[in-house]
Amino acid sequence: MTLSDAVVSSIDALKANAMRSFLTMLGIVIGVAAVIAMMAVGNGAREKVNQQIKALGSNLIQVVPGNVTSGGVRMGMGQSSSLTDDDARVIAADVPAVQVAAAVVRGSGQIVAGGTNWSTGILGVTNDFFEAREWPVAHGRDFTGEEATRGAQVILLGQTVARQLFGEDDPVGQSIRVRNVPFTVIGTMDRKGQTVFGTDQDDIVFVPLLTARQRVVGANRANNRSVNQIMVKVREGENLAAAEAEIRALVRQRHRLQDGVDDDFQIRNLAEISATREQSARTLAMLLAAVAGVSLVVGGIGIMNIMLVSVSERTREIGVRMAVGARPGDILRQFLIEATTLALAGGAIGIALGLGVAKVVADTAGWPLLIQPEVIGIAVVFSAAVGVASGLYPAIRAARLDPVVALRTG
Amino acid sequence: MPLIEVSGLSRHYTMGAETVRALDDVTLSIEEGEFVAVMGPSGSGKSTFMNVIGCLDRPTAGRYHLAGEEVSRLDASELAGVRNRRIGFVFQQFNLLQRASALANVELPLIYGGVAPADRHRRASEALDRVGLGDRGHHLPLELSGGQQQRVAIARALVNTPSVLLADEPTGALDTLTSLEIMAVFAALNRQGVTVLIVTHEEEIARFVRRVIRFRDGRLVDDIRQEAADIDTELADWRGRAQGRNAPEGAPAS
Ligand SMILES: Nc1ncnc2c1ncn2[C@@H]1O[C@H](COP(=O)(O)OP(=O)(O)OP(=O)(O)O)[C@@H](O)[C@H]1O
Ligand SMILES: [Mg+2]
Repeated sequence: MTLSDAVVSSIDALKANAMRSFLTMLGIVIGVAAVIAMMAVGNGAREKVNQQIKALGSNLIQVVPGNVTSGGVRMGMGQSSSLTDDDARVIAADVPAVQVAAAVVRGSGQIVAGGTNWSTGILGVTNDFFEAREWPVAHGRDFTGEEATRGAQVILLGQTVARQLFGEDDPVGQSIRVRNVPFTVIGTMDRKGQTVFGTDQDDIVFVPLLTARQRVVGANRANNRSVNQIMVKVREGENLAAAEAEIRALVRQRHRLQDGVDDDFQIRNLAEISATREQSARTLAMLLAAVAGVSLVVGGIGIMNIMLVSVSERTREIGVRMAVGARPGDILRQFLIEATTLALAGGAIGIALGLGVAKVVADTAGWPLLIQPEVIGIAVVFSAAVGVASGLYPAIRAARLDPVVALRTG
Repeated sequence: MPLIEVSGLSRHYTMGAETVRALDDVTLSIEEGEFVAVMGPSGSGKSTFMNVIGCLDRPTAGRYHLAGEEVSRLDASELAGVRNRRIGFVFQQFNLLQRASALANVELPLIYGGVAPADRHRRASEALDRVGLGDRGHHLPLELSGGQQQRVAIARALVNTPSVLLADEPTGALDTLTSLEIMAVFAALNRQGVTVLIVTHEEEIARFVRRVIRFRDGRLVDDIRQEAADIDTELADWRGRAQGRNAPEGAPAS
């Protein structure tokens, strides 16, 4: 009996019990679908996280004033005034692992250029900020030292703001008003894209830190040295966690916090935020892996069970086949092929289902749909292996039947 | 050289302390082209004899030469090969695969014999022609009468041009007219040179063969040769009497 004869006859046998065959496949379908979805979700999430880390700039630590439970009072992050630009200076000077520490003052307001106006975020920064975020000026220049110390009314525009106010025109050298204060545009920033949380990073303007304090957001602040955030960039190759611990110790010391007193600031590691997301993706992947493993085992047992039923139902058929010259090996092969065909058909449906699920998850989570071809190959090999493994015992039982007994059965 | 030669052939079953002698020290030879009826009371060992002769079963003692080859000590795989090349079985219950067409059923031995598909179809159609069912190749067994199903089974037994056709009560499930028709098919095949062994309970059926062997308690007790009655004349008589009651089935090709 040739292989193609055996395959044809197996498919016939499975079609004869189509509903039963389909139900038997379900375990494999779910198992393989879970494997495919698992791999796609894992890869997609990892890729997304990598993209985000790249977009944020690597090796970044954010220090923000206040703490959610500082002094027993709930405070929003960055709303307390415990952090100053002196903290930033000292962090940069005293922690060797730190490349730059940029103090940031944050506000927002209306910007008017000619007849156009636009509401956006306003950051008071030093040039260190651009270094920390790896965010260069695309056109024009950054702040001069003189502008920074004088509190000059100069401004750098994010791509979105530049486009909204000036369209295709060159904004450099133009005059605009920020909360009614006149500013001169000295440059536009490189495009940065969206954040982890989907906000447009290019919808922003930058002014010198001192200017921001004096003219834009600083007027109503209790402590006019306070900053909303210190953006720390750790040197390439340095340990982020160690740097974080050093910064914490340093700031606690500067703020004269006794042992046992809570921090009056928070340190956030952007890689950690991303890692949290990756962790949850990994948890999802593990869950799917568990589902896949259990389903494949259950599917295998299901196939074995149905093959045993099939062997006993078809005992007489086996006897007839033996009587006309089927060798034990032919019978063995027939049932193995049947089991493998079942498993492979289940695998094929499972691959389609898994791709569908992966697509839905990827679309929902907004990450790229990444399917490695070898994953499909693995799924096919896996289902074939399940088929062979679960078909082996029933097939051996069929092959060992005594033809005389088999012919008398049924 | 006889086609079938057995000596001291036994098939004993051990059931606890008891030994059932299903076949006991049988010595016999059958020449090519013979037409033999195997008779005896129920439980006398007829089926056991056929199974051993047909290489479905192995004797517990004795020797069996089939066309000169000692087959009693072959393993399961080798026996399957012998069955495929040399033996054609016909059973009381037809034993067709219900999901397969008549043609596909007839092709089955050729599939296991490794015959190429095109050749298979041709030879299976020819075998169906020989039993007068050339036009029913695509019918499923359930769409055929008992007599027609048995003819499909005979075609299947014939298709590999075996050395011997073994039929264990082939007419046991059929009415008298259909039984005669099936006997006519065997007789016609025998006239073409096929060696045929038929197990039957009915003396009526045994009249049409040229040699009758009888078993009792597993032993060969009788072996007679006789003048065979002419099946075709009898069948014509029966058809004459049945006229008006049943529409006659197509006559077997001879
Ligand atoms: N597998 C077995 N185990 C034990 N005893 C068996 C087995 N097969 C057959 N026998 C016994 O062997 C004896 C011969 O059986 P066999 O089937 O050959 O009889 P038979 O002549 O074909 O009878 P029938 O006309 O009823 O078909 C019987 O006594 C039967 O019980
Ligand atoms: Mg019997």
